[in-house]
Amino acid sequence: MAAALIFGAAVAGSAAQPQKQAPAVNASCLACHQASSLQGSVHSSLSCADCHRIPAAGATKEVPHAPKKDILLVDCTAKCHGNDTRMQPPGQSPSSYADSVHGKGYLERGEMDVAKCWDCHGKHNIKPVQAPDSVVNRRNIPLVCSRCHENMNVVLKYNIHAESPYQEYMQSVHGKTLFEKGLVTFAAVCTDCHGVHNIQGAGQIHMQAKDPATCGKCHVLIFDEYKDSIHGREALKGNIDVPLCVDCHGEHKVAPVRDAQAPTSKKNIPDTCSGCHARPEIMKKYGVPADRIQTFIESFHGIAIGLGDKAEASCTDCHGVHNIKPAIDPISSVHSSNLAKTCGQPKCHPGMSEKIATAKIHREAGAKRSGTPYYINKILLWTLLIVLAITVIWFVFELVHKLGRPKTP
Amino acid sequence: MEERLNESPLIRDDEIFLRMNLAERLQHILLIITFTTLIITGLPLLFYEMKIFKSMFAFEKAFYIRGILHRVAAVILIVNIVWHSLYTIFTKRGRANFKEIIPKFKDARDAWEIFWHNVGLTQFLYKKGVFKKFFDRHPYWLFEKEPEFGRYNFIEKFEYLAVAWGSFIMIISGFFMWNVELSLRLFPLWVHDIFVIVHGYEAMLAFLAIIIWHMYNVHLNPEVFPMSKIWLNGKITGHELRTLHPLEYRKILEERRKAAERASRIKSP
Repeated sequence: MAAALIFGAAVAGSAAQPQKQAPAVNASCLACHQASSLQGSVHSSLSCADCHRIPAAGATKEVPHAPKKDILLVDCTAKCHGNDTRMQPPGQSPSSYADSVHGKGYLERGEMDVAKCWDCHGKHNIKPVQAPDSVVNRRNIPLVCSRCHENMNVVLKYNIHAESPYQEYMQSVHGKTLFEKGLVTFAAVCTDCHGVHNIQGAGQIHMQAKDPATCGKCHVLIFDEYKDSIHGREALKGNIDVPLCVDCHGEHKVAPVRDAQAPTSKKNIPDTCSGCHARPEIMKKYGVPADRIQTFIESFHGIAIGLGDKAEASCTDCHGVHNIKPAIDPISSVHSSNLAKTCGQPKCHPGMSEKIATAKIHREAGAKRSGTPYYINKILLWTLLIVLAITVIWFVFELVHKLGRPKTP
Repeated sequence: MEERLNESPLIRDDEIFLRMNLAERLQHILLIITFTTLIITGLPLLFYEMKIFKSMFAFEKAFYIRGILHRVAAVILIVNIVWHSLYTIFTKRGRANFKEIIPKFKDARDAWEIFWHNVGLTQFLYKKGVFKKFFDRHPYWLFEKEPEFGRYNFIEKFEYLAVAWGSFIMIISGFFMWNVELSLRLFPLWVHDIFVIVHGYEAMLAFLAIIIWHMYNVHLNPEVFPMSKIWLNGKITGHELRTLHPLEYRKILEERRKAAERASRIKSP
């Protein structure tokens, strides 16, 4: 309540009003517009005329006044919130609305169904952000956004790539933290990632919600690790080829690794990495072989993972998770000098020989360059086929002959 | 070649002979169980993309249980092989069986002759009058008669050798796959890869040998259809011995004839 008073007083102060006393003009408005009372809102000391461009006091005698279409829409940033940086840092303050995906729609193209100030904050009953019943309080933010973003008409009209972000968010680790565990200040809500007034569309290359630094605001130590990885180093340079947090973890539905459906679960990791590492055009650009995923799938580890085993090694068990480094980096877990240690993890192959350092791990027995295994493979395949062919020919004749002959005496 | 055998007064057609004793039957049953388990728990790794195998691992611990079952079956198979080897070395019957099962040149000739007998091409040509003179001079090439088999025919010998050779390969390669750390201490990775490749192909060969050769011989073969019961009761009748293993039949006949002669000589000197 104290916060509400301070905020109310601050607004009143900036509007050059001496006390939070409802101005006289409001009474005559309320005679008709009972539902529009500012009582109890942060604007309780404002006059209707501060926002609504109704004619000066004298004109209110003409009741009813001119129809609504002649009254211009409210512009909150014009008089008071233009340079209001008390609630958000400058980049996110209300004045940044004009550059946001919502602001551009409304101010530049005149779209009426994009979010405007009062669509999120309410109209007359605006409460301070800190108040639990404020529509823009942290606990209510996801619900407020869902009013438009769960509406298929809106999703289709503006071609929004997230079709039901609220439903997905509710099932995500962030949504569950908020709704199930109740950690209001701790759980990320829409605005923590997307920004507040300055929300950008998904088409923006460097949108805030995709920026690893955004996740790093909370996941500080993970971000430190990531910054030092081959992916992170490139990402910080602004390279969008490399995986950002959301590319592996997903967006609204971000789920813990132990969740089987998560793109980062043991079973799904190879598939997630294949998004880049099985694409020759990207791999060629960075000089990485494009057969890494295929050779893994065909390996013992890959077969086991593919059949649902959780104990076997997946990509991240050897290469690391957020700290992935190229094999030529001496501190990389897959650098030849570290292979014995990486393979020899207690739960994997304790006592792994140092000789593994010289071995090629991602290998293809079916490829000619693998040498002896290739020829053994070929010889055995032909042996199998020849034995099979002889068998089939043999038994066709044998069976036909025996069935066509009278029973033995 | 001798004339087709008819029932002899010395061996009645309904006389019962022992073809597999209890120990042999138990070894065979153990082999069935372990072999089937090994195939079921192993083949999915070769054909991991097939839907049927994916559905086998629908529940959480399935893959882990697969590994345990495969290893347990492997150990039982090894124990079975040790038992069979000791049995073969240290029992008279075992040694006699082993002597019978060693492949000889006759087995290759049997296979050749029975194949052309089944095909029946030369007999067909002869009937049509083609190369008549050649066939009159060399009736062998008509392959009119089926060769006669002893206690084990060439298919049974081949199967036995396939199991022996296959088990040896599978146990060696499987041991190193089980102990991959040891394997990589002793060999480079590409040698270990060969173990894996060989284990896979030998599994497919064994699977085919059993599914096609053995299942045909003991089930589908019109002579025993729907199933030869020897593996359950170990018994073979004089009639079956006479038609399926004529050489063994002749051997027993000869022994009995000599015994009878001796007996009659003793009775009337």
